[in-house]
Amino acid sequence: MIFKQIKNLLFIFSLAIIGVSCEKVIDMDLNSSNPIPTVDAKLLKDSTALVRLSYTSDYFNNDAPQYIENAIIKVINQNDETETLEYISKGYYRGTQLIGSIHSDYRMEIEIEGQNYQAESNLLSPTEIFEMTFEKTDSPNPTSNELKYAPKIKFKSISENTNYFMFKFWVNGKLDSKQYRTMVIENPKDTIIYEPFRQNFDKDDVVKVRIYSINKETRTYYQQLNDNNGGMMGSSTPYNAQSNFGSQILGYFLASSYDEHTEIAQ
Amino acid sequence: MKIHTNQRIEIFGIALLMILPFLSFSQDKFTISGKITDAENGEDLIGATIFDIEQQLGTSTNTYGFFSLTLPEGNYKLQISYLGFQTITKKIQLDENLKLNISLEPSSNSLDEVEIISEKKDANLSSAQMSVEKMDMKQISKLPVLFGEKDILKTIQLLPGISATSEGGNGFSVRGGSIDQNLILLDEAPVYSASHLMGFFSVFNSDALKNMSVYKGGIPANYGGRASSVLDISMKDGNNQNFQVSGGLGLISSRLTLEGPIIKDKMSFIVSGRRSYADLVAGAVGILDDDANLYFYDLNAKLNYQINDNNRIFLSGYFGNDEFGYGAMGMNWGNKTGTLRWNHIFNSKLFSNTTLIYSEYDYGFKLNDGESELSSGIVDYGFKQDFTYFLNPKNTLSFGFNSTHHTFNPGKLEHENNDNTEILLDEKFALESSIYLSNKQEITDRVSAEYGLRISNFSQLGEGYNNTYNEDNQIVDSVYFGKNEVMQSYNSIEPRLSLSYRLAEDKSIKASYNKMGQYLHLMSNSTSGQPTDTWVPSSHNIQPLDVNQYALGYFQNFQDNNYEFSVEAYYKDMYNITDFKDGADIVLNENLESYILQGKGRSFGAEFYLKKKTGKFTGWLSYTLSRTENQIEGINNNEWYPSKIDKTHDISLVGSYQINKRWSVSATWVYYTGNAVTFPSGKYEYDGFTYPYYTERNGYRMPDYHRLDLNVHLEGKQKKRFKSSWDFSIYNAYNRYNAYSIDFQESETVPGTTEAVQLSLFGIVPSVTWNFKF
Repeated sequence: MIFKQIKNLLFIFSLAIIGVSCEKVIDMDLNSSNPIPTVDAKLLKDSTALVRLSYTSDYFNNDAPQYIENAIIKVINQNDETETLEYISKGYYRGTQLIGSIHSDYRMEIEIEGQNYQAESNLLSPTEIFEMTFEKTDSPNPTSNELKYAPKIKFKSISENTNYFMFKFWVNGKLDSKQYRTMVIENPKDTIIYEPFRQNFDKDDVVKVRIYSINKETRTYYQQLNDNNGGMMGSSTPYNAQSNFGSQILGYFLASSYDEHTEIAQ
Repeated sequence: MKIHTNQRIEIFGIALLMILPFLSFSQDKFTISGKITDAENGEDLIGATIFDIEQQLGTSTNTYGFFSLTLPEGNYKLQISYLGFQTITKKIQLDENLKLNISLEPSSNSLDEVEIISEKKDANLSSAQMSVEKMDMKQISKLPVLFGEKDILKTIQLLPGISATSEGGNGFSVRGGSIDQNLILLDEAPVYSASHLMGFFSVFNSDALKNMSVYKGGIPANYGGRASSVLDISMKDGNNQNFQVSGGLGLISSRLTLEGPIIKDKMSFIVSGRRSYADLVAGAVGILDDDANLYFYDLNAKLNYQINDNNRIFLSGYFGNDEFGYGAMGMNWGNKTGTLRWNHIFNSKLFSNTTLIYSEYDYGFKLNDGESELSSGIVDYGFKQDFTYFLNPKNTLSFGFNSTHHTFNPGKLEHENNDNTEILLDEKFALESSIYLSNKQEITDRVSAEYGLRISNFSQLGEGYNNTYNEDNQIVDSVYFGKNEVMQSYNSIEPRLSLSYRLAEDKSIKASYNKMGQYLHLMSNSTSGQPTDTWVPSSHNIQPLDVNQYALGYFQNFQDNNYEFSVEAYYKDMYNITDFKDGADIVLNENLESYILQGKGRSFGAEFYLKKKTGKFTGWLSYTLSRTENQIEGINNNEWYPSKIDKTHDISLVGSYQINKRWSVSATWVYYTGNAVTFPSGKYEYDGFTYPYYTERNGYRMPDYHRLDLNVHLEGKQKKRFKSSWDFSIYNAYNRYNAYSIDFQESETVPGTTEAVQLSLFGIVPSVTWNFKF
């Protein structure tokens, strides 16, 4: 969190210096890569599993990815109850029987053209959002005098141990950012207060926040995804977010629960 | 300390070479010693030559202007010279030891001609030293630079083998070494972060500096602690003849220097300060609002006192800081250095310099509207003793020792209202010590050598824990060490050798070998360096960096030494270079050592250099062809991959033309291959977003870079003592938008598609600076 704030600060101030900088879209000649499988697998509380399988494609290929249609996907809970997901279309596979429940460990097994992959995830209890309020603040943009509204969210801790959360914001029905905001609370009290850094809205925006209860490994994965969303100043050496299915495959199996809350910024 | 067989052979060989100079027949000999200074301001002249015309024997002054020349009894005709100054010829009768302090007058033609070196004209041929470049501030002052701010670090990036690591920045790479492999010394104190304003300005105020030397290879034994290069910068001593004020007003910053005698000929001072006002300019044009701070300031000060003929003391210091802030948030960083030196002449042959050194670098952040503060830094206290023994005209011995205590503050985070989340990483301590002995020898009329040995020790000291980590970066074993207990110790035996063979009056070949050990590591994820980069010591988990460098060169001068040409080839092998596991957080990571990967590297290349030193037109052309690669277990499937500072071609063209006594023009043009970089070869979808898919480390190149800068210098009309000048500069004259970074992202205008977006920092940047002196 702190590291992200520092990088944000460096970025702001660098841009302030670089008043004369410019951005433009350019043509690049990138190599072709051998396609590898990608998994987007989720099992949420009180829902069945939903998985999308596809292959990686060349970076500037703007066609839809090649979906994987003939995979065998199984979800197994800690009682060894197993469900094989059904293929729907466009790479989607859905479960119909095994429902996500809290304090449960899940394993997902995938077979693609004779190759086997396996990942595990545990579904934690959801938090409870008590309230979301807004405080007037200056714009984070040093060049603007516009007044903004910064959210302050109070919510419940989920255990006495270290808590990990991931946040998503929607503004007027649209996801606010591609960046995943995460939070770690060691020795949490009952009520946790979250004031996201440089997250603010215009007056009368309809703001929805969703807070996912996650574990340390999941937080690491989403932070790695954030690193892939344009490392600040192009400084960090780029890398692939490490899948919990292993190597030579991308994506993640996430079992999770969440609570959400909507408020008007004022 | 274990010494291997090959190290024993190296030590024996060096020791034998050291003894040989003493095994000569003694006869009645006497020594001429003294100082050579600038008559105008009393500044020591470094590298001035004193030379007997008939016997072709001579020497040159050291860093403090001191020389010693031992000759048999007799009559001599000595020529004392320094480029840019009038040569003096003195007849002497040598029948006893003689003290000779000489002041040289600046030559009359120096007003309308520029000389771009300060040593004797063929020093590049006669000296055994290779891979070194020396410059004085006169040379730097007329070159065009970004925002009109004269900058020593940007100027050295125009030399062969030294390359910029980013547009407009001060980070530099020498022969494939990373930025932390450069030892930067200001009056002998190490400077840990040499940049202001995110790297666009260096911390060195050219008004306060006298000269600088940069060593890329064949590094003398008195230097150590960094693996790739030494940049040794000397501050002015202060005018001991007249009180003088000088300064300059620029668009981004201004500077003012005061210097003068406190006791004429004995004691003088210099104080020089700079302050930028980028924030005021940006505010005035509406780029920043009133809550924003964005400035740097620095101060150089020096006092020197000639106690008597044999004793002189210098006290010098630097203090600089950068402030960036917006509202209650912000960051600041800065260096402080201090040096107290005592020159003592034991006798006409033995010169001593004793130095106490202080250096500090720290940075801090205020976050969360000022509720949280983060700080980190390094503090050094050092002692250094150097001796120079002028054994005879053919041998000059240097020897000494030094010891530095380092304190590393890896990071501290404090919250004003929340004690629970305070993070305090343990301070780390280390003692770095070394001894060295070297000799500069003229073996025959054609062969000269400089050879030596440096032995160093580095001990990480308690209090602290030596942790052992598993693959998941978790501690599996921990051993406690009490205060000042040695937690980990390393040694390094570093032979240094440079040889020169004069093929003819106008040409020579040279070879050099040096081994360098480095115990400090800069934890940085960037190529160019950022103020938040953290220095850490070698430890239980981090091995010291070792570099062997071999170089071979051919040197030729033309037209009475007015033109110099050289070509040097080098090869470096590097052990224990560092990189990070994917996703490592560098700031406030208490287990950072567990994220470090170490491996080996190699760098090789050829450097071509053609320089015109005197006349109305001066300048140089340099071309470097190079390759730098790393192999680190855990990266790129353990295969060799290009280093992120690897650049295949690097060309600099520098020219300056003195039109008349008032007008001069200069230009620089640079071209280099884009550095190696990791770009995606594919993409994938997750959670509704598209992400890049990377297949190989540094498998691509940034676009090639080129830029032309121009400068027009106008000397004002002199009114009594008052002199002024104007510099009109254009940075990036043909307005090329070079790539600073390239991001790969989903298109905002065409959803579902991906694109490459290039960020360019500077288009054309004009600037004007007014300089004055009285």
